[in-house]
Amino acid sequence: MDAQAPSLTVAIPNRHAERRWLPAAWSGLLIAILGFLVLYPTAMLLIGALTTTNPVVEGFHFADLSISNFLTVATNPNVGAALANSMIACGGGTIVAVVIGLSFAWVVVRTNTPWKGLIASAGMLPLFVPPLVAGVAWSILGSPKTGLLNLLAAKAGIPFHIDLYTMPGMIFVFGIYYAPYVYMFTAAALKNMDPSLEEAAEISGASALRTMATVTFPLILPAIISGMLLSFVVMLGIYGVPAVLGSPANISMLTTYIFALTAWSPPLYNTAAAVAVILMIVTGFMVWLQQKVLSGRSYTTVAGKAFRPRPLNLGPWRFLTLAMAIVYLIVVVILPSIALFIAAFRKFLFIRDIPSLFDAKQYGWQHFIKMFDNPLTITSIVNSLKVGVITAVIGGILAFAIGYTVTRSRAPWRRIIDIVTTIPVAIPGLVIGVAYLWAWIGLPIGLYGTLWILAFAFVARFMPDTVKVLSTSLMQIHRELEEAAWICGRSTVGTITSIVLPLARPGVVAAMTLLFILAIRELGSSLFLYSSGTMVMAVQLLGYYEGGNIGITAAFSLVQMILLGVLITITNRISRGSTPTGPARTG
Amino acid sequence: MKLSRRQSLGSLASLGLIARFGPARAAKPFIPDPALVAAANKEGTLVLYTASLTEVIQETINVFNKSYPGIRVSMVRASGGQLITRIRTEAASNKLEADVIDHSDRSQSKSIEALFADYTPPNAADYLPETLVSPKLWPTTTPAWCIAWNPELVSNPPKTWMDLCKPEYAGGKIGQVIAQSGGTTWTRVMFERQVLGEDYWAKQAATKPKLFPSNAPLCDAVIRGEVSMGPILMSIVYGKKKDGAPIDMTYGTEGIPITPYGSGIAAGAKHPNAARLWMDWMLSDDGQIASIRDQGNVTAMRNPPIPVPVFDPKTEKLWTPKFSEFESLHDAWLDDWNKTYGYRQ
Repeated sequence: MDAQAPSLTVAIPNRHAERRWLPAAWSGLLIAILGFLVLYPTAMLLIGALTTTNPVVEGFHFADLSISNFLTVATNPNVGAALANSMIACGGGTIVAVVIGLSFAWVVVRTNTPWKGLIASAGMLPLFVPPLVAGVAWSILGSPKTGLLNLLAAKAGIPFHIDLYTMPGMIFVFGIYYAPYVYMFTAAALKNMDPSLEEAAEISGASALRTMATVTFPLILPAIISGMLLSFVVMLGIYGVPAVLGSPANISMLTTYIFALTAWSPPLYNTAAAVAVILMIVTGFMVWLQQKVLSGRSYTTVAGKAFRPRPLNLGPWRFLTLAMAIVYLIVVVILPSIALFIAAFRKFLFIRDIPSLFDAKQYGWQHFIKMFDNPLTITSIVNSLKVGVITAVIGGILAFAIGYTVTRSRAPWRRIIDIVTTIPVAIPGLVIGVAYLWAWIGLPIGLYGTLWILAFAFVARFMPDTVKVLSTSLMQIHRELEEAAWICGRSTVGTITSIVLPLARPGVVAAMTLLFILAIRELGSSLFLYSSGTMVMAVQLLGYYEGGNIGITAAFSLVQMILLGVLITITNRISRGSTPTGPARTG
Repeated sequence: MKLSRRQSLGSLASLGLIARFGPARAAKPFIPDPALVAAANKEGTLVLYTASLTEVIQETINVFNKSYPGIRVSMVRASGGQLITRIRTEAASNKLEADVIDHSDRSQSKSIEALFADYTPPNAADYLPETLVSPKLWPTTTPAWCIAWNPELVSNPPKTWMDLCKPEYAGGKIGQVIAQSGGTTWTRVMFERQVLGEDYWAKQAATKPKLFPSNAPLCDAVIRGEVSMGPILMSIVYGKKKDGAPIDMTYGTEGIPITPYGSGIAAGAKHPNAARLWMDWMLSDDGQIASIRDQGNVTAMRNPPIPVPVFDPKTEKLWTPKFSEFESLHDAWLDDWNKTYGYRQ
């Protein structure tokens, strides 16, 4: 971050000097909003962890406070094992995600690899797939007993046997499914990077590879680290993949452990809350580490000087990058999609042999018919789209306000705002869901039972992700552009709307798109907040999965993927329209 | 060890309760009070909180709506523990939305008994008294445990519960639902220990079964061939079998663990007439026929209104635990089960 960033108060022209209280009022407003969205539910979660009661039902009494839940958790060796497994799976998955996501971003944004637009769009597809479905798709492909890949290899006489019900299996699936997070961060940073720095390296005789390693990647380090951190903590909170791939091998992770605690009869929410607090501490440490690494450095690359990103001419090597991209797409998109298609259209997933796999009589529309016969299917789709849009709009505005305040102003208490914004990333959805319920159900504003309560929960839960995506864009815009506007007499708001917002538009659109996707996929906090009239797709999907109907689950997932794909294509077009020639490039 | 029929029945009688229903009788059509139907139609809506699977309960709603199309049934579905937490929290804030609460774990329902309204169905006398735990709670649904297997993979299928301890099925061929899963599974593990023997769990665990969080994923795993067999609720298997899935099932000869639901009308229900109509219908012969015929459940009625599929009343016996033990043994026995099966808790 630019250490010399001027303060809001300094930047405001003298005629507004009497409004010096505004930054404090602004920060106060943001803290109040975050207090409602984040602090209050988190406090309820902590109360839950420190008591053995339901704070809404039994009320809160200081006498009830104890650390018994933590002692129970600390003395349970299985919690330690689950924590270790989570660290290994998510750490390994993050490494895989960074390698894939960064390479992909570089190929798409900075090279002349053919068909890169198509590759870019297809490469984002894993983001639309709910983790539960990803787990199911890969279990269909890579189960040691019934996996399609093993079946095909055996038929072809190839000595190949894959078993994804293992730790390496989970690392692989985590890595390929969360690579788009790293891609989103790094591609946006690469798009906004001034290529003159790379050109200088090339003129000085550096090879393309050396330029990439010594100039390009170091310059987008904040984006790489943000992508790493986000993918790591998102993986930490994922239930679907370890539930499907880890459980058959008895590999327990924190999320599956927490889910079990909340699903048992009777449920152990207070213990789950204590486990969640451990998760918060781990994530808090990671966030601190990230900020420690990035502090005191400048990564500004978007300045007043005009530039146009220039793709690197790879010559004949571009076909190698194309081949690598195609292999990636086959593994990440085509194979699991085929598995999902087979599951969605096949009557039953028992595949005796290869001829049975291609037996047309085994396929039909029965799962789709049954799915749409259920009125809740359409209700859930409509509700999810509504809540997705509300979340993206409200969350996008709030994230921009927070991101701008934290990264570009000297408004007071912005460090507090930054920390509070980051808190939800550390709390698993299943646990924060019940904390939202405890926190908001009693409010006398008629929130409970409406789509708004879901939207607020999603805004809060995904605020760290959204703000990180936006902040990466904001950090790259040089201060001189705003200063120029202020010198020309523009107000702070005018500068934001005419300079910062247009320049950060790809980041804003990316953040809102991400929020929309996450809102539509979010299960944990939906489980406790949906009501009879506000069923959403994620809950409906879980209902189908828990009903043991993989066919309908896969069919519903395909519908969800297509819906998201269409919507993302639209937003991609909006984003792309703003990227090549924004006002900054002509400044 | 294979228990003789006498031994089995001895165990059944001494430790649990044999819930015998008699032979099927002629069904009585459900004819509700027209005033009740008119009032329910006027309300037009019913909010149902249920721990049953979405698809299963939607099927029931569809049958109900054929007779009562004027009542829109909205459902909130959650797993047993999550449902109870939601109900308790909503009730404490005076925001309980439910008109009817439908739950498979009677002890959980009983723990929130005060949140249920007084209710007695018109045909209360038709129900087996040993399946009732509170005058407010009624067994709208009664699922039963069977043994299921994939016939494509198993040429010599198990016929008894004791068969599931055979070494020939060892090495991950058997799937088991974890004991903590809910009221139905807790009933099954009680049955195993009380009826099949103190050492049954150890023998069964020696076959190294694969553990599943609930019935539906286990059933799916059997159909896919991930595991070859396992104890599964008949209501989960039955629909798949009807649809042509590669799965077969039988009731274990030593007894059939059943779990009568504890369902009732929520106190302060906003649609009390629709709620009463739903409960009356569910507990009527019509409702029980739908449950038996469409979903493969048994019934807690003294005499079922139609023959129960795959069930021979002459030789097979239903088993339900003593409710006091259902509550009192829970924590200690689950702890034992977890240790025996190496399930990480």
